[in-house]
Amino acid sequence: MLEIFSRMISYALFALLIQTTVFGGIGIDEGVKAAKKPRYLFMYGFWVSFFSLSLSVTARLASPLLEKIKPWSASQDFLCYTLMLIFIYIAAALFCRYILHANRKYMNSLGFCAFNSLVMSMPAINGGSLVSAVGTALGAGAAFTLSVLIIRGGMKHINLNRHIPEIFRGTPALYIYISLIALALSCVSGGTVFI
Amino acid sequence: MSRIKNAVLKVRTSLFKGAFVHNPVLTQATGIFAIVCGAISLRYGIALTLTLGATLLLCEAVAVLLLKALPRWLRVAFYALIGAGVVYALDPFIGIISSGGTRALPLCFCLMGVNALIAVRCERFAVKSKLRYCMVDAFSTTAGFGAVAIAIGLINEFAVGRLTDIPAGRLPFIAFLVLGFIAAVHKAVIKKFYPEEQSDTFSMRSSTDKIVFRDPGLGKKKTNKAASGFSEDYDIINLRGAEREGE
Repeated sequence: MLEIFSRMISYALFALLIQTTVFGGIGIDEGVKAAKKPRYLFMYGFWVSFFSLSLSVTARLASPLLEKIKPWSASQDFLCYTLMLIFIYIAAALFCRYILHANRKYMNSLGFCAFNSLVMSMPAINGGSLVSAVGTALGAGAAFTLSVLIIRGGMKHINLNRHIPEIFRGTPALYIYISLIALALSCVSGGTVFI
Repeated sequence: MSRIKNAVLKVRTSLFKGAFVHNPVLTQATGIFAIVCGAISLRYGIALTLTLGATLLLCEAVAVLLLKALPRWLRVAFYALIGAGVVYALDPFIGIISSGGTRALPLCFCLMGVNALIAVRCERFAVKSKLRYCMVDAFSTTAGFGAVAIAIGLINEFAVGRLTDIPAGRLPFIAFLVLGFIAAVHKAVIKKFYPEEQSDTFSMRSSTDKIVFRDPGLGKKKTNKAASGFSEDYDIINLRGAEREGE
């Protein structure tokens, strides 16, 4: 049991610190959008983790069934994962709407947390076992929250910095800021940075 | 005759504004994922644009014709389903395009089906509009996305790929950096030729922002509309944020 738990933690830490999916481009659209609304940050983090975890586990449990009808192409896999996610999403949305009595804004944000490139890429990047699927999904959710915090911090300072030339303020500076963080993280992950 | 001319002019203006002035990638930071991960060559840039175009056209058409009555949280699921369906239909095309590429490329094409850009355009525009305007919006958004995807693809293929041994797309920071500089050039052009257009959604100096003049001695504040330039005593605050905090 302890071994399984430690393996799960290793996968989660790997996803959080080394894969850092958001700064690699996966889920960056949602990360930037979430950074604009810091009030909902932890709600986004929770639901992205929840949907990542649910889809990963469902996809892993369904994989023996899917493998029987192989050969599949990536788009067929993707269609299956989308259908799985839609069922998970509708169940979660109904729970929020009728049990938690969530308001309209909350419900609107829920779709944004479910249908994004980070959650949808989970079945493809989460390794071969159930333990790795759970660990990677939890790590990716935490990495998303951390990335949004980093982007939010940068956005705030960039917008208040009067030394930045006028044409670089806003989106250009944000992109350059993200590129510098991505550069730093590619050093950590062992990616080739310099020739 | 003049009505037709006027209509053509309106469509042209809408296409230009949607594709260039309010470019979704350069001003709203949507659709970045596909550009950073997928636009590693000219061929992939074009293929991603075509995939987005097909998905967006269908999603906007379905949204405006069938989904208006549904609640927003349910509509989003339909966009994902339509996106996945389009990607499935384009499977042979994706197979041909991504042959010889990395293992992640087909996944990247598939993820175009759930691109944030699609949900954003459908929700902000399609469900509040008519079919013909939606088609114009879908074309202009695709053109705007495509221009950036092709530019990044060209740079990745002819600059990064040929000058270095690093496989294009391996280093996402290059794409982010190039995007930053393209966005700056775009902003400079908009500022020079269309100064009345406030298109950058990440700039805090929008029409609702004000500069707060801080008086260090008395602690009183006087407000004024943000004009130009900064001084040591000024602080920019986002009034929308401040109002929310006040609530």
